[in-house]
Amino acid sequence: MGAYLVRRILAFIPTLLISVTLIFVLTRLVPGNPVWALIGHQSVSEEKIAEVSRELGLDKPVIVQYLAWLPKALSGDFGNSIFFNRPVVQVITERFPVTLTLAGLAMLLTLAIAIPLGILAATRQNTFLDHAASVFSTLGVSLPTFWLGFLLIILFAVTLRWVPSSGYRPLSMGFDQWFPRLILPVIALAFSQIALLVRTTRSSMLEVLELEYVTAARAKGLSEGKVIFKHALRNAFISIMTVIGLTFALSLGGSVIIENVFAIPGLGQLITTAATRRDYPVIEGGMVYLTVISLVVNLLVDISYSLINPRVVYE
Amino acid sequence: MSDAQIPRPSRNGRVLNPALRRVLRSRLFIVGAVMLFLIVLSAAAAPLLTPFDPVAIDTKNSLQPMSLRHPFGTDELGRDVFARVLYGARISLRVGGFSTFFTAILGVLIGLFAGWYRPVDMIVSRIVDALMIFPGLILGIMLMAALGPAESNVILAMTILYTPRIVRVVRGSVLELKGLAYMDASRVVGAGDLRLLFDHILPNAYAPLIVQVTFGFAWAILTESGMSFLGLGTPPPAPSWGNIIADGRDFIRSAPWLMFFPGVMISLAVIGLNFIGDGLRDLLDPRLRNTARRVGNQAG
Repeated sequence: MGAYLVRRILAFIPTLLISVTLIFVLTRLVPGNPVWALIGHQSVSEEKIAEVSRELGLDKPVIVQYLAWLPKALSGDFGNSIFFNRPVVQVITERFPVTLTLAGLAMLLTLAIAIPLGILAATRQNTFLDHAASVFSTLGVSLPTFWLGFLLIILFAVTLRWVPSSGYRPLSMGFDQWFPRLILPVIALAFSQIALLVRTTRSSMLEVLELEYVTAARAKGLSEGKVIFKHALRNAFISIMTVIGLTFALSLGGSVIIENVFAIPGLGQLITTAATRRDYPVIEGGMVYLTVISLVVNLLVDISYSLINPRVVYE
Repeated sequence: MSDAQIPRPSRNGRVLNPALRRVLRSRLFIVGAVMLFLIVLSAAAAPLLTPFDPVAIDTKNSLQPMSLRHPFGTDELGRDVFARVLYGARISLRVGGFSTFFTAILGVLIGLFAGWYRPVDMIVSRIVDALMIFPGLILGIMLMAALGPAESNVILAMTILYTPRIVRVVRGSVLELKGLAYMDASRVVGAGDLRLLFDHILPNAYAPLIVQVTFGFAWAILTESGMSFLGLGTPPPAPSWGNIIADGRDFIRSAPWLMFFPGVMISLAVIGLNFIGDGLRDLLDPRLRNTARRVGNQAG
């Protein structure tokens, strides 16, 4: 097992390199000269384009660009944003907390609802509650997130006027400015994750509850609550943990859509607009940030999975 | 499912048939299949169901509410939304269908070889890992920005996004099956690598594969709608469910029906496909039907 851990952590390095390289290759595939995006399409002389290209290092062969870019990227330096004309790291660090807040709150809501609901559904198998939970979890993974976001806006912001329909205010402007604007986006983002986690919690609880050690725990006279929370849930948490890790990465991705629906100035919105403006450095920087976080989460999940489940054989 | 798990020297069809018969008895599967069939039917029969052209502009009749003439109203340019939703089904289903098809073919080929040959696995697994850690739509957004908006590019981008998942499923099946005794037995009687892979391993990997491909179709429809919504998917004026919703987003106060109905269609299609997938999984996947047998397989 120790050897496996070392190998898994070592494998993290090539995976990181490959994904960072993929990001570079894919952004350089973008057709159209980024210099145009920077200084406008019309009335630009060839010399001006050549000059700006030289400044940005875009006149060199791609492989030379890559070798110069890689060490910088890995140390977090992506140069200046073409559009904002400021260091990419600055632009990203302004927006990253917004996305993390959104994803973090969605995660908390998911845990608070999905795990109790999943346990209830498993312990009351084939009751009304169980069927309701299963209908909900099918809906959750089937409704388009952005459409759900609009339905929430129409119902709670336009019709009932309970909360503002969109926008974002930082916490520094006060809790009453910050929180109401996050309610709908967080619900929309958490919806599909709750659905996934309810399903996982229910099925792993059911699997564990059938095992002999649970019967033994009941037979020696433990209360049902103790059997479920102290004995069964602990074991069921193996697969629940895996899904929690994955849903966090998913919610980072889902925030792209949600930030667009609710006009929230986060990293997802930044990357989408950078993609339409061909602001290479920002696309690359934003992607690398999200990728590294996903990678670390993936690694932790992998390690915890192998630690907890000795039946999995690693060659 | 035991039938498909017991290795037999029969051809693929024979191994699957009893399982298929059971599938047809599943209520979940039937409900999902009927939903999907109705959507496919309405897409195919679109010209019979509406007299309107989905891209015909009629600015005199813009933003009409729902009426007998325009069941789903009209959009900003006076286009009939009912017609756009029906014809949009063609595009959404076509894009989803093609990308699912290519994903399945590529995923099976890459997965089989990665599971079988260690050196291939070293490379493939790293790339699969790298592709899978990009969260959600972000890789799709990058690809679409790089490739430019076109229907074929959406298909290409989604194939790149989903193939790794199929590869993982197929590779997992190969790893699990290749240690079993019947592989040695086949080899002893002279079967080569390709024969072992395609005749003996692939048929036994069908169950998780078919389930994953069905969920992949649902995923493709959702993802296409998301990318089109962001303006990076199927380019206008062609209607796809996602960009009809994008057209309606500026009017959610004055004309909420514009975004309501295409969303209902996406949801119905995806729910239908998920039901089919769930039905198939319950019936085909031994992990859920009989945990004990699964563990036994791993030990073997």
